[in-house]
Amino acid sequence: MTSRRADQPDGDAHARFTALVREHQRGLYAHVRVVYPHVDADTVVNETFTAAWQRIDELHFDGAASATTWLRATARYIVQNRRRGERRWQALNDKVARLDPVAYAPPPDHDAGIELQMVMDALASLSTADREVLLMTALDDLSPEDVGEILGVRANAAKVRVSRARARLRAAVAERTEPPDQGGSR
Amino acid sequence: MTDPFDVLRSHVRSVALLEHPDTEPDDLVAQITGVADPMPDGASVIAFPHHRSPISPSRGSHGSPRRRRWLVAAGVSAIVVVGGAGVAAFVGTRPSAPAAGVVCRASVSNSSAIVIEPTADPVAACADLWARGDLPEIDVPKPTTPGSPEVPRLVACVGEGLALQVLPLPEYWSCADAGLADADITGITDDPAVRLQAALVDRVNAGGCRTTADVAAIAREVLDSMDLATWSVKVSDPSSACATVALDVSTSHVIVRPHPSAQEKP
Repeated sequence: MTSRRADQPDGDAHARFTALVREHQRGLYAHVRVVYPHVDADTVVNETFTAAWQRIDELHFDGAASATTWLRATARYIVQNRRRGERRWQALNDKVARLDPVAYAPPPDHDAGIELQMVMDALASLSTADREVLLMTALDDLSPEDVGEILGVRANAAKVRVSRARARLRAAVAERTEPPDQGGSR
Repeated sequence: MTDPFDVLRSHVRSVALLEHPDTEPDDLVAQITGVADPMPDGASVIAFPHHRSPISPSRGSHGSPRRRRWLVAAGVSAIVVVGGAGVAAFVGTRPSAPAAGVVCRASVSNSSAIVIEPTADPVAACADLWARGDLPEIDVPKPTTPGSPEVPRLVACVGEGLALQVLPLPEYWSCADAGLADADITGITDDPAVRLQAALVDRVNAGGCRTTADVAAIAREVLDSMDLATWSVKVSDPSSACATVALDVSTSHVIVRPHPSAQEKP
């Protein structure tokens, strides 16, 4: 890995890094905040861009999409590393606390609020892997190739994973909308 | 009913619109690269403010080493002083001795760290923070269960920015294994530059936005009180509304310069 000394800045590398941060910091922050609500998004974003700076000479992005996916994949790696090392996060792992629908985005009306709460409850009941892929594709218009690059799997596998996660979300919501006495209990 | 995924998409995008990082892009760049805007004489300041404190202010410091809160980027020598409008930092280099305070780091790779005042036994001071539960995870709630957290093997090293870093290292690891240099901490508290830095940070950080004239006056007063006749004050931009200070140990100058946030304003 190329290690960069802070007291020996390279003008071109610094300019490229500055452009990278300016273009992607906000989006990466939103991604981390939404997809990994149990971590400190600022810290993860900081560490992600630190990794980018340390490798700035090796990073040559072919358009904004590749920078986007590289940063998200790196952030995911950092989150996973932190998760392994910090067992106390485990207790929070199944919560989507930061996605409190009322606190962050008031729904337009009562019915919409109930519907949103139901979807969020259904989301919380899914596996971590399903939630991750659903949240990242809900937030950004990512292609199967992008999702595959972030998750470290082939595009086809990513496509299947997204499709199945969406199906499981629909099923989980459907469970919550069915009347409790349905199914011939009486 | 609407497709649940569409409901989810609409919601998370609304959430994303309301969320903002704590750090402005250019501040993040400066923090990570350690390079702020160039100084008039070509030197670079290796410091930047604008960091939220990772520790709740309600957590008292009684009985613990006197400290300031810093957040250092992993693997980067940039040192960030958190506080009011003014900061003091070392400019330039000095080859061997640690010269910019003591940083207690959570780990080799973790970005979190706490800075403490220079002390005769930095390892013991950092161990105290570990024993109190302030490290390694300074931004998460402390466990409520009784009992002292385990203090790992702590080693004092010197980073590229010449800050003394006390960090946990695995058995048989040396500072070199962590990409750092071994630290000679003998007499750290006697180093006039270290004492000068500590005094300046205390004085300049104590208030909010200070004018260049105010900061220069404080710097001269500190130099006089410490009897540092070989040091002098150098003002880089007299017109700045908010000023900060940096130390150039290679020329023995206290440099009064515009605060980075003030430079961003029109």
